[in-house]
Amino acid sequence: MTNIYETTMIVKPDLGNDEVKNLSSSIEGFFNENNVVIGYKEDWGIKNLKFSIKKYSKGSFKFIRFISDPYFPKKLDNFLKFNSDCLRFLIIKSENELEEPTPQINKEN
Amino acid sequence: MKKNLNLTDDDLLKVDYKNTQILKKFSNDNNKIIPQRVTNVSRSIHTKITASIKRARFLSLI
Repeated sequence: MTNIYETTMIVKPDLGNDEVKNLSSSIEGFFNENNVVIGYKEDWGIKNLKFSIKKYSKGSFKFIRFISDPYFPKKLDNFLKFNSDCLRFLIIKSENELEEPTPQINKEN
Repeated sequence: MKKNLNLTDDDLLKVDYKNTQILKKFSNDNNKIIPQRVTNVSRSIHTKITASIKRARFLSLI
Protein backbone atom coordinates (compact mmCIF):
# COMPACT_ATOMS: atom_id res chain seq x y z
CA MET A 1 0.00 0.00 0.00
CA THR A 2 1.34 3.44 -0.93
CA ASN A 3 0.23 6.96 -0.07
CA ILE A 4 1.19 10.49 -1.07
CA TYR A 5 3.06 12.32 1.71
CA GLU A 6 4.51 15.79 1.91
CA THR A 7 7.15 17.33 4.11
CA THR A 8 7.95 20.98 4.80
CA MET A 9 11.29 21.80 6.35
CA ILE A 10 12.67 25.00 7.87
CA VAL A 11 16.42 25.09 7.31
CA LYS A 12 18.93 27.53 8.84
CA PRO A 13 19.04 30.67 6.65
CA ASP A 14 22.77 31.38 7.07
CA LEU A 15 24.10 28.21 5.40
CA GLY A 16 26.71 28.57 2.67
CA ASN A 17 26.27 27.19 -0.85
CA ASP A 18 28.31 24.05 -0.11
CA GLU A 19 26.35 23.32 3.07
CA VAL A 20 23.02 23.70 1.24
CA LYS A 21 24.24 21.34 -1.49
CA ASN A 22 25.43 18.82 1.13
CA LEU A 23 22.08 18.96 2.91
CA SER A 24 20.02 18.47 -0.27
CA SER A 25 22.29 15.64 -1.47
CA SER A 26 22.10 13.90 1.93
CA ILE A 27 18.29 14.13 1.88
CA GLU A 28 18.15 12.82 -1.70
CA GLY A 29 20.56 10.06 -0.74
CA PHE A 30 18.31 9.05 2.13
CA PHE A 31 15.33 8.88 -0.25
CA ASN A 32 17.34 6.76 -2.72
CA GLU A 33 18.50 4.39 0.03
CA ASN A 34 14.90 3.60 0.84
CA ASN A 35 13.86 3.34 -2.84
CA VAL A 36 11.49 6.33 -2.60
CA VAL A 37 11.24 8.68 -5.58
CA ILE A 38 10.76 12.41 -4.93
CA GLY A 39 7.66 13.39 -6.90
CA TYR A 40 7.66 17.18 -6.50
CA LYS A 41 10.06 19.67 -4.98
CA GLU A 42 9.73 23.36 -4.17
CA ASP A 43 11.93 26.00 -2.63
CA TRP A 44 9.91 28.76 -0.96
CA GLY A 45 13.00 30.83 -0.24
CA ILE A 46 13.96 32.66 2.94
CA LYS A 47 10.95 33.89 4.91
CA ASN A 48 10.52 35.89 8.08
CA LEU A 49 9.32 33.62 10.88
CA LYS A 50 6.40 34.84 13.00
CA PHE A 51 8.29 33.78 16.13
CA SER A 52 11.92 32.81 16.56
CA ILE A 53 12.90 29.13 16.38
CA LYS A 54 16.22 28.15 18.03
CA LYS A 55 17.13 31.89 18.08
CA TYR A 56 16.62 32.27 14.30
CA SER A 57 14.14 34.94 13.13
CA LYS A 58 14.37 33.85 9.47
CA GLY A 59 14.19 30.45 7.86
CA SER A 60 14.68 28.85 4.45
CA PHE A 61 11.63 26.74 3.54
CA LYS A 62 11.88 23.53 1.51
CA PHE A 63 8.91 21.44 0.38
CA ILE A 64 8.94 17.82 -0.90
CA ARG A 65 6.05 15.61 -2.00
CA PHE A 66 6.59 11.86 -2.50
CA ILE A 67 4.87 8.49 -2.78
CA SER A 68 5.90 5.85 -0.27
CA ASP A 69 4.73 3.04 1.95
CA PRO A 70 3.48 4.01 5.45
CA TYR A 71 6.78 2.99 7.14
CA PHE A 72 9.01 5.52 5.37
CA PRO A 73 7.68 8.76 7.03
CA LYS A 74 8.77 7.42 10.46
CA LYS A 75 12.29 6.80 9.12
CA LEU A 76 12.36 10.27 7.56
CA ASP A 77 11.19 11.74 10.88
CA ASN A 78 14.15 10.07 12.65
CA PHE A 79 16.55 11.26 9.96
CA LEU A 80 15.45 14.92 10.11
CA LYS A 81 15.24 14.95 13.92
CA PHE A 82 18.99 14.41 14.21
CA ASN A 83 19.91 16.78 11.38
CA SER A 84 21.41 19.90 12.96
CA ASP A 85 20.73 22.16 9.93
CA CYS A 86 16.99 21.49 10.02
CA LEU A 87 15.25 23.83 12.50
CA ARG A 88 11.76 22.34 12.23
CA PHE A 89 9.84 20.00 9.92
CA LEU A 90 6.33 18.68 9.34
CA ILE A 91 5.46 15.39 7.60
CA ILE A 92 1.80 14.76 6.73
CA LYS A 93 -0.32 12.69 4.39
CA SER A 94 -1.08 14.88 1.38
CA GLU A 95 -4.58 15.60 0.12
CA ASN A 96 -3.25 17.21 -3.09
CA GLU A 97 -2.08 15.61 -6.28
CA LEU A 98 1.59 14.68 -6.61
CA GLU A 99 2.71 17.51 -8.91
CA GLU A 100 0.28 20.23 -7.82
CA PRO A 101 2.04 23.56 -7.11
CA THR A 102 1.51 25.08 -3.66
CA PRO A 103 0.12 28.60 -3.03
CA GLN A 104 3.34 29.55 -1.19
CA ILE A 105 5.52 29.49 -4.33
CA ASN A 106 4.12 32.76 -5.73
CA LYS A 107 4.10 34.48 -2.37
CA GLU A 108 6.80 36.99 -1.46
CA ASN A 109 8.33 36.69 1.98
CA MET B 1 -23.08 38.37 14.80
CA LYS B 2 -22.36 36.26 11.72
CA LYS B 3 -19.25 37.15 9.73
CA ASN B 4 -19.27 37.48 5.94
CA LEU B 5 -16.04 35.90 4.67
CA ASN B 6 -16.58 36.28 0.90
CA LEU B 7 -15.25 32.78 0.19
CA THR B 8 -16.54 30.33 -2.41
CA ASP B 9 -17.05 26.61 -1.79
CA ASP B 10 -13.95 25.84 -3.85
CA ASP B 11 -11.84 28.07 -1.60
CA LEU B 12 -13.12 26.27 1.48
CA LEU B 13 -12.36 22.85 0.00
CA LYS B 14 -8.79 23.98 -0.80
CA VAL B 15 -8.07 24.92 2.84
CA ASP B 16 -4.59 23.78 3.74
CA TYR B 17 -1.76 24.86 6.06
CA LYS B 18 0.08 26.27 3.01
CA ASN B 19 -2.83 28.51 2.00
CA THR B 20 -2.23 31.17 4.66
CA GLN B 21 -4.37 33.89 3.04
CA ILE B 22 -7.57 31.89 3.62
CA LEU B 23 -6.49 30.85 7.12
CA LYS B 24 -5.97 34.47 8.16
CA LYS B 25 -9.67 35.12 7.55
CA PHE B 26 -10.50 32.53 10.22
CA SER B 27 -8.37 34.09 12.96
CA ASN B 28 -8.80 37.46 14.69
CA ASP B 29 -6.26 40.22 15.43
CA ASN B 30 -4.90 38.29 18.41
CA ASN B 31 -4.38 35.21 16.19
CA LYS B 32 -7.17 33.33 17.93
CA ILE B 33 -9.37 30.95 15.91
CA ILE B 34 -12.85 32.42 15.27
CA PRO B 35 -15.60 30.07 16.53
CA GLN B 36 -17.85 28.15 14.18
CA ARG B 37 -20.97 29.97 15.42
CA VAL B 38 -19.51 33.23 14.02
CA THR B 39 -18.02 31.99 10.75
CA ASN B 40 -21.07 29.82 10.02
CA VAL B 41 -19.17 27.14 8.07
CA SER B 42 -19.98 23.44 8.35
CA ARG B 43 -18.50 21.26 11.11
CA SER B 44 -16.33 19.22 8.71
CA ILE B 45 -14.77 22.33 7.14
CA HIS B 46 -14.24 24.00 10.52
CA THR B 47 -12.32 21.00 11.88
CA LYS B 48 -10.17 21.08 8.73
CA ILE B 49 -9.52 24.82 9.23
CA THR B 50 -8.55 24.47 12.91
CA ALA B 51 -6.11 21.63 12.10
CA SER B 52 -4.61 23.69 9.24
CA ILE B 53 -4.20 26.80 11.43
CA LYS B 54 -2.40 24.75 14.09
CA ARG B 55 -0.06 23.25 11.46
CA ALA B 56 0.67 26.71 10.01
CA ARG B 57 1.39 28.01 13.53
CA PHE B 58 3.81 25.13 14.14
CA LEU B 59 5.73 26.09 10.97
CA SER B 60 5.61 29.76 11.97
CA LEU B 61 3.73 30.74 8.77
CA ILE B 62 0.91 32.66 10.51
